[in-house]
Amino acid sequence: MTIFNYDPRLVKTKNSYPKGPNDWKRFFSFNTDAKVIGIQYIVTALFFLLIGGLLGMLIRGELITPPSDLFDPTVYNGLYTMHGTIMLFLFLFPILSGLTNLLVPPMIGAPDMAFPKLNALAFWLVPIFSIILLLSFFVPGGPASSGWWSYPPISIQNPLGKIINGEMLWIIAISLSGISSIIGAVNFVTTIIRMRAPGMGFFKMPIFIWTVLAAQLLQLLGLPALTGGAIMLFFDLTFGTSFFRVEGGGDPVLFQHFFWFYSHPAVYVMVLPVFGIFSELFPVYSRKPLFGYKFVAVASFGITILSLVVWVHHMFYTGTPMWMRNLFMFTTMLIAVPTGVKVFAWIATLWGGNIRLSTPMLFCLGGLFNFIFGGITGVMLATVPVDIHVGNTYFVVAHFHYIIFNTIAFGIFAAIYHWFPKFTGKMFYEGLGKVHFALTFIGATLNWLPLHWAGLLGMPRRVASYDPEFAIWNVLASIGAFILGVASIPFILNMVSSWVRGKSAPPNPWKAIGLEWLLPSPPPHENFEEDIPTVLNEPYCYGLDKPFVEDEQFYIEKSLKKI
Amino acid sequence: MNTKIRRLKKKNFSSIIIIIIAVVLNVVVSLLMGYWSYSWLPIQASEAAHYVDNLFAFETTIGTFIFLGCTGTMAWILVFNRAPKYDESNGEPLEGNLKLEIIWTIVPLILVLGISTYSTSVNYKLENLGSKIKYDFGAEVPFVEEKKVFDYGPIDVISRQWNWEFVYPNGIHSSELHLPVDKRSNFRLITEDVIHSFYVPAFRLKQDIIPGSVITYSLTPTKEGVFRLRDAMFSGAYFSENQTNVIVESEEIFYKWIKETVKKEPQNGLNPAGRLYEKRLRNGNRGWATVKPAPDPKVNEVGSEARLHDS
Amino acid sequence: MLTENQNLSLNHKPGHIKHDGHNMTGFIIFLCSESIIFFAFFVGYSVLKISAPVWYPTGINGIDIKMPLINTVILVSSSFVIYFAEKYLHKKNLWGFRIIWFITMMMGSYFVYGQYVEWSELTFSLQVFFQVAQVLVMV
Repeated sequence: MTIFNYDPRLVKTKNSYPKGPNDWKRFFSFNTDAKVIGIQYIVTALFFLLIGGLLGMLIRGELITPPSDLFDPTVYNGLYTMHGTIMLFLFLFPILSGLTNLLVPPMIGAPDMAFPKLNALAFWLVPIFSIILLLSFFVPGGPASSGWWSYPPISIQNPLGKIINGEMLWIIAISLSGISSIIGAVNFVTTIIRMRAPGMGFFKMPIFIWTVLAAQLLQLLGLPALTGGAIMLFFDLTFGTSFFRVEGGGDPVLFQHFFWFYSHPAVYVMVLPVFGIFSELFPVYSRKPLFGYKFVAVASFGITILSLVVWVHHMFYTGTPMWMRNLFMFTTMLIAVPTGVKVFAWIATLWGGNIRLSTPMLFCLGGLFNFIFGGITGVMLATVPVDIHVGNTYFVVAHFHYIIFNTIAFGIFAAIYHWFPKFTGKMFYEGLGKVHFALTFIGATLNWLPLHWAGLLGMPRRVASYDPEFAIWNVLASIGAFILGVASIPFILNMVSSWVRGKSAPPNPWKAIGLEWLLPSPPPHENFEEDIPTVLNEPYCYGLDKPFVEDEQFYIEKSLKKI
Repeated sequence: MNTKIRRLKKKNFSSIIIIIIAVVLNVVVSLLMGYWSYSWLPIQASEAAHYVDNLFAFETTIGTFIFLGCTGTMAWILVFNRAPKYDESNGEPLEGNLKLEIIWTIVPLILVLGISTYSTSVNYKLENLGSKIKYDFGAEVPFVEEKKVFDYGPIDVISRQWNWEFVYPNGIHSSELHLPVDKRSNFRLITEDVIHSFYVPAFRLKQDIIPGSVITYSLTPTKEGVFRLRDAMFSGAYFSENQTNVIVESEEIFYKWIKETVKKEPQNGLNPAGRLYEKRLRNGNRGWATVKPAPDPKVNEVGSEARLHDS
Repeated sequence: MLTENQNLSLNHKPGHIKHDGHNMTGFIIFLCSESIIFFAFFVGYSVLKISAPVWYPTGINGIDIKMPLINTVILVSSSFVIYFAEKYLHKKNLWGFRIIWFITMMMGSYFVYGQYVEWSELTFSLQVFFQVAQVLVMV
């Protein structure tokens, strides 16, 4: 088609942010532009990925030999607690908020988020609670060291008896993170409900928007339960109440219910946008419509609803009665159905396509491959008898890293590469991207695949030392972890150098369909400003003779700055 | 027209053959994986192990079939549907297929229904967990009437930060858990501080021990040997040292042990965490804060830390 | 913007999305979400009550109903009062607004006072809280 012809020299943007100077300083200010906030989120989160990864490598360094010889066990406990907390609350949640901020307004044709100031507030809470969390390394007694679950009574033991302790700072940081997430969720849901482009009915939204809506609704329904639990835990720890303190008649298992009521759905809050990313990217790089758009869209909400009634599967061996275990086993397994619908739809989307193995597609394929594996071990963990054996062992650690890193982080990397040209206006280096993928895939597989066997043989998680029979699996895992550490070098190199001096990106380098690709790269301050396209079809009509928006040619020319 | 149909049939015929070969291969590999999966697990040393391993092998077989089915299709696509360089044309514009979508909703549904029915039946066969009774923490642990039949017990399993102590009905205190083979033993799981977990990988059984509650639990060891008992719920600084051995003996030796041990004088039992903490104090108490380990339990049978375990 | 090249005619009606006016939607979503915190508290209370071997826990002899009830009535009714204040404001009746506004403020202050009384009667000490405040001040 002729309309896609472009000359990259023509599309250099003069000033992409009309209301603010196009300089780096805006990234360090209380800027209310969703695109600036998105990049602020992503860069902050990637910084904490490095810190969390460093802690992870320290953990693997300790575990490369059976005895606890690198650190004192107390230090090890603090390190793994902070590793989990940083990776979840300072890396995954912020980076997904960042991607959502970047993508939601352009994808639905909105000029910005519904509440731009709240949006900036939600972001600036992140550095605040990160500093609080990192400060806990320096308080007497060290940081929180009861795992990211923070189960009482271990979390409220407070050995030094000081009022300001690591655990207290941890709870404050997590609560602030919760406030930030709730502000973000209200903002995203309102934006998606109220600010879609003309003609964009629910069944014409991109799947990413569907999954963000599903994920953020889940956030709104689940997170307050954890906040409630955290408030009670804080009172128990600091004021000596006994909600969970056994000496005063409290019930420690109650906290586990509050915790998992949110923290299991939290995984879906993170994985759903990644499903959205997969659904966006597979059609682009296989040049085919998304297979079964409506099924895939509705499946997101199936996952949302089901994920609210599965939390007890984390508590199969806490003395939960038989009927409850069987019930929650069944609801947990049901999640495999909508998830399966998505996986099969992605594979059917690939089938018969014209596959282009560019970096984003490689990360997507790798992520899907790992997700199928992690999903299957997830179903195994859902069955009560198997879970009673492998629960709380390295099998679980391996399983959830397969989901949380090998799927979610792979999807995030895919998204970063895919939309990098759009939001920075620069192309990245394909070769470095492929090196990054190869190292990440090898490192991640070597890190977490062997640990399944350690878990099956009965190695408990969170141990600082272990019996020598588990050594072989741990050595392999540690090597994998160090390879993952090396994998960050080509990534950082690629991102920094291409942003600084990469080739200018055309508006639609991947020839993708979608409102964001009808904008110049990078998009102007208010996206489509006063001329928002009327959407006619869902953005997956590759090879179908269906127009995407009214007067598409006009917007393409406009994005090329020919008009 | 006729030739076209014939060609179509021919194409269909060859693709059917490929699909059949792929499915047969997949079934063979999946069955093999299911068969191998037994070797990934520790020795089967309790009545539960057999059921759990069978369920795990069943799930491994089905899981492998699905995994290879999906990733095999992906591999096929990656080999045969790659776009040539500079080819940016579109693929076949399939928007969906209602029949196919309904099939891949219904089939997994039936599959998970099947798996959960299977594991529910296993649950009912095992019935290890008795009752969980709350009591006033710090007061004496109440006696719990156990409805299910058992041959020996109740043995009090007392977990602490970070050592184990086992109290037998005749008053023996031990640092290692001795059990008679092929007899259903009953336990009262008790903790004196935080949540611990009674986990014996060779038994494939795990039960959290909740402060403020006494939990009754029964199991039948089916193999003589020494097996590791590991605390599986994070319990603080020396959590990974909170391990001991389960020694499963023939009934004869077990009762002989009971009779002889009762005469032994109480002495300090196993407490590796306590030793490590002393070492830490000697080295200047460096590291982050921890509660003090519980004192050494006073036991009739100390056992040995150096004892080799079978799994 | 459309001056450089007019060969392409505008074949569509420019769409427009309102920037503001979403406050109500956002606020309702927020309220629904926050009510779950209280749901969590109520669930926690009932679980503790149902599963406790003896209710009340040792050291507690019963719940004071009177004080919280008065406080609740005052808190809830103050929202009606402030509603009337707002009505007066709309009618530009400033004195009516000021009087009712003042009444609302008095109700609010009484509620805060009631909270202070209730919290200071609790067995677990708020002194810890003051200590924390002290430390923060020192920092």
